[in-house]
Amino acid sequence: MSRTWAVVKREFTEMIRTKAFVIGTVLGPAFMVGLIALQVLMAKTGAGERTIAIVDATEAGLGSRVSALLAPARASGEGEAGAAGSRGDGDVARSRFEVELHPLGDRDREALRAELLARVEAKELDGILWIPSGVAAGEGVLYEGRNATNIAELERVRGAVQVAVQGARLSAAGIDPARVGEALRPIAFDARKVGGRAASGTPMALVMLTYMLGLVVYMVVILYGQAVLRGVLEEKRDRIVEVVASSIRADQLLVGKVVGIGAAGLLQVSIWIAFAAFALTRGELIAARFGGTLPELPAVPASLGGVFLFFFLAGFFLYASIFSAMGAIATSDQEAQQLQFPVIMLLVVAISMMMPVLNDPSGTIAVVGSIIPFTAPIVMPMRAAITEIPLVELAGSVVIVTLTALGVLWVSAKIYRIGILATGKRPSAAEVWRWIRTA
Amino acid sequence: MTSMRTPSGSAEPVIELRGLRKRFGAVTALSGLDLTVPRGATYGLLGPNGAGKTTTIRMLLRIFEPDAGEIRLFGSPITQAALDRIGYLPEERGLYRRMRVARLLTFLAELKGVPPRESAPRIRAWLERLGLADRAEARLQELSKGNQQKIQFIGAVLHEPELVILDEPFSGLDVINQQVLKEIVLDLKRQGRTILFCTHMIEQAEKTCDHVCILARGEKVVDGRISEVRRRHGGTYVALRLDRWTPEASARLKALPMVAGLREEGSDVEVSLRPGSDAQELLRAVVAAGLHLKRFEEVEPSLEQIFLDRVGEEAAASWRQEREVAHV
Repeated sequence: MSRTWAVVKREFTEMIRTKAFVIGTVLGPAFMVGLIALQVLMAKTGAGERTIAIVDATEAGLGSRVSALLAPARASGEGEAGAAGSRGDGDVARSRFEVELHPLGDRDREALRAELLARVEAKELDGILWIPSGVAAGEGVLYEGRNATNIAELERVRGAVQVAVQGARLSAAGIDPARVGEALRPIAFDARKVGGRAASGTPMALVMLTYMLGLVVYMVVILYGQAVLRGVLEEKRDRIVEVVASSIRADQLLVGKVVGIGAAGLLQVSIWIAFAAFALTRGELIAARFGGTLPELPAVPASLGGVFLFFFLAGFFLYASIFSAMGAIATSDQEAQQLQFPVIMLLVVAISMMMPVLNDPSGTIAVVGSIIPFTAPIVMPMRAAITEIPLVELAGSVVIVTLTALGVLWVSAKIYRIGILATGKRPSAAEVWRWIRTA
Repeated sequence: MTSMRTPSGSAEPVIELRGLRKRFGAVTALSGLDLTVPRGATYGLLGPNGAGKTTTIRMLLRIFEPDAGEIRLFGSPITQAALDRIGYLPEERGLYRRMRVARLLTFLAELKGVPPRESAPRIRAWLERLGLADRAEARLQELSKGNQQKIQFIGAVLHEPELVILDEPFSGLDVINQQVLKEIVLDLKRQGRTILFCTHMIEQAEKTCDHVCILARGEKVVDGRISEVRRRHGGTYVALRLDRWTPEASARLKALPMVAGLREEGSDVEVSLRPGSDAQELLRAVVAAGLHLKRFEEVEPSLEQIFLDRVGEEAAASWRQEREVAHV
């Protein structure tokens, strides 16, 4: 036992001394802070002041209608713009439009265009909206501007023109546009998750949290699982293993390695979680500094922590054991790459279950995903975050994952025992099978 | 030699192998090896590549399980405690290249059950002795090959093992470091530790060891105390040096009726005589044949001669070639 402990200590201390670990540990929180800051800043600065010129060639003065719909000062236009289908995403600040109206009348179109384009060039204007006389009959509207790639702003302009044109068409048909607007007024719609326990907070924040849980397990399993593989390969390639194997058994070495590297992974995730917890409790302050607010936090049951920890560790053990066996079979980095491909595919299957699980945490895919031991470590913590899992299902999954992890560890130790000393050419599947039987 | 303890004292043998067998697929690595290493012996395990030396050692160290046979270390079956009393320098050297020297040695000691607090002063002393005191905080990969090998040697003896297994310990070392290592090995021997040398350099083993076991193709050719091996082998051997060696002189020597075989190394020749002949007869015949001698001495057979007599010209020649390649 003390020998295994020596291996655990070595793997752990050597791992946390690597540059990759230090950088990953620091960059994780930096990434989180950056993400929050970016959202706040984007919300603040994404919106701007736009001044556009509307050249109106219609007799009916559609241009002033459009102007009324775009200009913020005339609040009456807001409801109608909404009715026309512009997105009501209230929490993203919207650009403010200043409009100067140029009825075309008898003026020379090209001369006006040259004059306006010069002003666009001089940055006095952001763009020019051309409303042709036959717009109601289907003639095309043209926008020329420096912001012509800003989809959100173009959509606002397009929406305003559409509402104005539709109003004109309705009027022409003898229908009061105001009454139609009233009839088409959007309903108030709110989404709240229910499912066993009272849900609180915004659904978006809960989805984010759930997604993060799945991703963290995935990332740690991939990164640290591959670290195990590389470690095994290094010991084998650099002929270190013979000295170690003369002192302790192969299975002790394997367990020590997996535990040591896993502990480093757990430490990193703990630092991330501690940082996230700190950031979330102080998040309002941080966000406030940038002049924004955070969405309301979801309340999650304390048991989620236990579920997460178990499946995180079990998942790591399961995959790290497979990775170590792959490292023992491979004789070069290239072979290791090939061999780990199917293992990574298993993880990709689990990742591809994330969206279906989010959409229906009690659906067939979610339930099947938590029974399959190779996907359960990612699926289960996600489900636990968004829904109440029946105790039978949870217990069943725990048992299946535990037994599989132990079984894989046992088989891997056998492959490892012989594989770590085998050099030269890569063994065939039949040979590996013989190792498992005879070791 | 006078201060050496009696190797085959009353104590249990350090290593006892009975009927040890091991196959790898179609290849028989070892077919029924019996071997006894007495306490305090400096024991040479000799043989050409592929003779089964490393396989034997790996089974001793529980790295491989034997297919059949019994292994006893210090008088009982292999246990973790028994393994802790063994130090091992494998032929395939290798260390964690990115680790720092002191940390690596601490780890290797811990694997043998020596806690860091005990190993720290020993590590300092060993590094001092091998002239590496200033490299304790260097990474292994920053050291030269020879120095890495010294570190590995320290790792093998740091826990003060009773049995030290050295697989080709001198290969890859320059002459100065070979000498340093030889002195340390002599020291270990004086301290009463048992040393198992695993090598294909038969002449070197002949000088260093008091016991040998020669393996060929997974089988034991001969074993025991060297003096006894020679005595048991019997026969009459004469070492002679010709004034000037020529192929013609060599052919004339070979043609003499009492000569059974020749082993030549430059102008040094070891002649084995046919049963019933004696050295005086040979001396007369050599002089009569008109060959000029610089040296003529009746000797005990060399280990190589014994190997040649037992295994045959062909195997001995290929082994000799192997050693010459290794020397280059």
